[in-house]
Amino acid sequence: MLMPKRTKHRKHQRGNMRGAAYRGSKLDFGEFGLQALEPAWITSRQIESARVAMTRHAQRGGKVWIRIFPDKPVTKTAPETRMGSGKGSPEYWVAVVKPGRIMFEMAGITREVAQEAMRLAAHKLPIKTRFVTREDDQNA
Amino acid sequence: MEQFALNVRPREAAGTGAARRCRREGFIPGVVYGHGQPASTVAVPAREFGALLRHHGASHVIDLTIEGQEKPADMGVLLKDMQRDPVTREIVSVDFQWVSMKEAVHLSVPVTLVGEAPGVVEEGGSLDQVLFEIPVSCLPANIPDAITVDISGLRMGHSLHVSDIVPPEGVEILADPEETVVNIARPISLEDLETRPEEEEGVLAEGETTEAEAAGEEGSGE
Repeated sequence: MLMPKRTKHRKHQRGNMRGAAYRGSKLDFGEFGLQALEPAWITSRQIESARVAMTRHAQRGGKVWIRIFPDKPVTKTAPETRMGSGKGSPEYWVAVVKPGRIMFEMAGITREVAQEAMRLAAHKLPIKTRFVTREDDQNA
Repeated sequence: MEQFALNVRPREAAGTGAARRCRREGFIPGVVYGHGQPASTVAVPAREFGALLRHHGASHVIDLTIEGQEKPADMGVLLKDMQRDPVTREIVSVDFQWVSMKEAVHLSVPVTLVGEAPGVVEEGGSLDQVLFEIPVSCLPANIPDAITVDISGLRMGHSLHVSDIVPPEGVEILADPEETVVNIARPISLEDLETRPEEEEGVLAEGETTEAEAAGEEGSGE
């Protein structure tokens, strides 16, 4: 699963996800993409699961780009712990995704295959998404 | 090359509020500048501009008329920049640039692939287009809709570069001749399909820190 190799700080503050993603909201590498329509924390497990769903459907053809990286650690307090005694320990990694963000891109396959692959990948994610193509991007 | 007419009205009020009012009325706030002309803020009819873009693309000279202003002689405008809302895809702002019909302009035009590559059809390779837009220089009258690249001779492992493109007459390609336009890559191996290179590398386990970081944290706690 994706995670940073080394980090400056072990625990992060939660932050917020106001507004839309202006950066990373255009297709830059492939012909097809999966765009987020809601804000969310996408875990490294969800990213990996979506990637596997996409590559399995596309079989050996095509190329996949992952445009988000889970660089934010999420902490969790151990169960049955009394209140206080500081912040919990890091449990998993998430990518902060805002509406408009292109999360995955694909190329080298037909539109139908890409659309189905993205549909399967979208089922692994906790947010509403939209399938986008380079043509739509230019002419919409 | 065809020219398309677009009538816009001048926009006096600037700023966020005025721009939003303009959008509510069915217009797109825009600006026209360049070629020694004073910059003027305009309101572009959204429906007409959207239709023009859908049917003819973005790389065309537009015969722009600003209501109540005299049009400069022998000039047209090119779409210089356009901003869209990342979620709704609506156009929120447009920039036009005045260009002289007698002087060469620099702009990017889309690259269109034609033909079927035997490397994909027969050998099962994966078509990887690297360059989707190419910078060109030409007279406004010669701007092509797209630069077509024939891929019917491409086999597995082969690639086409900018130097292989034959530009239309009167068009000069400005991109680096060594730059790759398209290649036929080998399909992903079955092993690669399930595993990722990141997993093989010695990465930190969840929550684990490097020595340097641990030392840093101790230092900050004092």
